[in-house]
Amino acid sequence: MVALAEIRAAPAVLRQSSFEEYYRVQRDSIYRALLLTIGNQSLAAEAVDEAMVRTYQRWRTVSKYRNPAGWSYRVALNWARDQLRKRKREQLGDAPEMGVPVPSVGDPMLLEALGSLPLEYRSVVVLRYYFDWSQVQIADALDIPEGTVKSRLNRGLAELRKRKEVTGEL
Amino acid sequence: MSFEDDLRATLDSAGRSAPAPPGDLRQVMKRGRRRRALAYAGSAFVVVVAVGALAVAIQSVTGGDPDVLAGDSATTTVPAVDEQRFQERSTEADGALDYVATTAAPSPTTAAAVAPDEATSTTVADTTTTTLAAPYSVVRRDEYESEDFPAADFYLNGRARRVVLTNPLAVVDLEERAFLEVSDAPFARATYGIVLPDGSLLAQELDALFGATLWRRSTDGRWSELPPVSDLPTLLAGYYGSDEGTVDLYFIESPFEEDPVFEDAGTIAIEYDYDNGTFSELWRRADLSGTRYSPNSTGEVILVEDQGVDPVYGPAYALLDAGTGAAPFGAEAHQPTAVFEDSGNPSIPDRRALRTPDHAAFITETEYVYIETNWEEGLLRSWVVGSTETSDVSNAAEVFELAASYPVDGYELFACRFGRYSVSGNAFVDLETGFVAEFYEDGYDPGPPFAAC
Repeated sequence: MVALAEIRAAPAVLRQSSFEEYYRVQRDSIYRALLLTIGNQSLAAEAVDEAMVRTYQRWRTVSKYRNPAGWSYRVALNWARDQLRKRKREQLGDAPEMGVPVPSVGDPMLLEALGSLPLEYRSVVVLRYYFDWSQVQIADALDIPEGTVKSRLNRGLAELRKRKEVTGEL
Repeated sequence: MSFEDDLRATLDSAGRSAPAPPGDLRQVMKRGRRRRALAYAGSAFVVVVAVGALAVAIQSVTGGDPDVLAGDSATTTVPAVDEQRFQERSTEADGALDYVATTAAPSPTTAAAVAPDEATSTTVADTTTTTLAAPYSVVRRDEYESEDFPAADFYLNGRARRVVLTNPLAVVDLEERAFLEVSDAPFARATYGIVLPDGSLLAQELDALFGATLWRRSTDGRWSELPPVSDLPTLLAGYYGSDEGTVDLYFIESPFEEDPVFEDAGTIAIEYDYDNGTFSELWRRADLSGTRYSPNSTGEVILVEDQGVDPVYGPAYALLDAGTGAAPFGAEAHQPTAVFEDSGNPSIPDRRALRTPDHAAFITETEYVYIETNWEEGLLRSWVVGSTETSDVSNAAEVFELAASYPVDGYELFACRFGRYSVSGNAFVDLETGFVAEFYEDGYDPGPPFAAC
């Protein structure tokens, strides 16, 4: 199993030239991050597979990116979102408790609260606190301005605190 | 433990607890190809419009010798193709049009013929022959190395280009310009070209695997390579440019709302500088779809507007000067999301915004926003006029009931009535100054943005 530390050091690690190595290092971690984001195991698995295929097809280009794993994650997220849209679901992965295992450490209510956030907040929070990526890295990965990352992160955390409190009071 | 540490530990633990599914690389690749093939088979989609001095022919694999056809005036045979779908459209562009035909998926593109001169009377569907003339010749269908997708040898002016060729093949009418896309998917190769009124052709072969080449044929027939613009296979969706300007802007976007293959489907704005022969990318946004372009009344400035079909990201706006390619409202205009971004709310239906070319009013996740452009002063204004936190936005699409622009007492006024529940009002904006001339409200104080004006 690939250590999470490896992907947290993604930009440096991912300069490896071999796609196979990239796949080995990143695939499972990207899957887990996506699962935490969308809360659906089967869809996350399928989306990461799809993203890895596309990454492979464009490896010559993608491997030069500052953060190839960010690109793969975005591809997977977009693909998953499209699939959900096709299934005519209005909310994206709004039931992460159905897909994300209960953590043995930490606060399960936090996961529940995370699952209730809008997807764009969720993805930023996961990349920040699961991958420990910087705001610049997240902006690069999601192809959004850094300011947007900041605002989403702030709003996401604020919402998370609020919803956790509400959940805790119930 | 701080809240953030708690969050980090929780995510770590949940992530560790999640068993990753089996992921043999070969199996993953196989599944991906299969999925893609199915997606393409289901997306029998052909866009065919042609204008301008474009002449391209695509011939089936049984066609003639490309070495003979390429580059010269020549007559060749384009075999009839079963189930071929095509459209034709004549233009006044010096008799230089054109037929383009494509087949529907799952049968890949097999034939398209465009005659650039007086031979345009020939149609592809009814005959097996057509006359092809220089500088365009034949694209020959062939089988690509992959098991799933066909390819084509693409000859332009005698220069062979091998591209993967799948649907869609598209040529889009753009005010006597034409745009051609030969799009691939599985191997990240695509070609697009823009035909200018003088008949010269800009084309780019996008090849993420082997490097992209952008090339241009000038009116004297010489080819020159241009810097790469993008690695995104795209389709030109709109063009705006001043007739006498030195820069044209081209907006490119994916033809698919839900592109089965290109997660990067989105919008690119590129400019072409006639004087310097340069072709550069202004900005791109990958996560937009359904982008529309609204030039102002004089065609000087463009409001680039996403329609908000994306339930997550919602609409976004950017302004560009059509004549110069500059961003009159600051560098941020190259990044539409930075100019304005609706962070969106999946629960809010699409197309909740009302707009005119100069104005728009819409709802973000937490705010009612009114955006207004003042072309003369080069201003882009946006105001937050209310908060959704205090009102029910479950039917937010109905919040904005009216947006209209009309003259009153010498003022060009823009009326925006917003509010359905706790919020309602009318804002009248003086378009000459960009200021709010009057505001009427029904029991709601719009707050500082309007008050300040």
